[in-house]
Amino acid sequence: MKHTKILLAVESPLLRELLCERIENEGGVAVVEQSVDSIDLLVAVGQAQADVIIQTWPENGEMPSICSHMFLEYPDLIVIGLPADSDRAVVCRQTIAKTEFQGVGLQDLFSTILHPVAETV
Amino acid sequence: MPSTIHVSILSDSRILREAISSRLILEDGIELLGAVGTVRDLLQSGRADRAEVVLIHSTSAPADTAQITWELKRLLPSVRVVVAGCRRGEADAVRAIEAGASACLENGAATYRDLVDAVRAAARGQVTSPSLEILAEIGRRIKSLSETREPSPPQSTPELSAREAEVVRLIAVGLANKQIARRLGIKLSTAKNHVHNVLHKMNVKRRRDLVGSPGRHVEPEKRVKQVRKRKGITHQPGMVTTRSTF
Repeated sequence: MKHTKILLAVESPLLRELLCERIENEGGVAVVEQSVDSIDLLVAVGQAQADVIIQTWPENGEMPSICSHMFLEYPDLIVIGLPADSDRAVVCRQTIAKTEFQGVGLQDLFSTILHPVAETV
Repeated sequence: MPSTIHVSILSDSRILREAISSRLILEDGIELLGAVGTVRDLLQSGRADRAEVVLIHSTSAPADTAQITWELKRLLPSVRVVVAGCRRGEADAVRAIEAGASACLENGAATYRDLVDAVRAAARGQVTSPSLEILAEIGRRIKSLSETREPSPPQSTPELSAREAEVVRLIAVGLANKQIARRLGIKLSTAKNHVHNVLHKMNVKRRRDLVGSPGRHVEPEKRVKQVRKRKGITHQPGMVTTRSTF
């Protein structure tokens, strides 16, 4: 059975350790690498051929810039962000989106140009 | 310390609650009473008063965590609180300790083992931290508090009674048994008994060995003059420098 390979990049040693243990006890998933250095992350993903990264999410809620590079290199990657200051989780993946408009007008065109993310994701 | 430590987990993060619970239930000597998200849930669980230790791992702002700690200590005074998930730096930790926490663990540094050690230490009534910086800050805070207070006599050694501690102070300033008896308004035989007990408890053979105990800083001029006179010293200030010789 193919395991989903997880790279743990959670800053808290406590949570990292506990998550690692829980993941190891789950079927079909395995922690293949642990890294907390964002610079190392890009290399680590490639070396470990990770399918999923679970990482600490910045308190400002914005996706770390390293994620864009990772999605560019590894389009199938899924990033799960855990903010340290809330009970949320953020799931990011690169999506190839196709939106169809019927009876497209100029407004639709400009709207898509100005707000591509909102319109296509 | 109880043989089994009853622990409740209080965290607003479900992932943390589940992750810590799943591991803590495997620990010897620890019984997990439950894991809840709020103080209200904890109190309504009906098991709160059984907990010796409440482990708080909050994702809230530090001030809120300190408030939760304070609230918990107010409602359950006997419970020991361990706060995990503090931000880097000593300020959050000290704030939690001041609110009544027995331990505070930094989010970016504390491991699971630190957490369990802190829970066990808290159950023993100890205030602890795996971070030397946090301990140093607590020490600095205590020192600054002492500087703002009126100077008070040194605390008696725990093994000594208040009367014995007084006797130690009088011995340290050089009083003989008769003088001690007169000063305390007790019989000579009683004073001798106190001195004997003090020497025994402090595990020293001679009275002058006590001059490293409470009262060492007290050095009356009278005693200094007596020694000078006995030794034939007229006026050599430099000669009387080692206090432990008296």
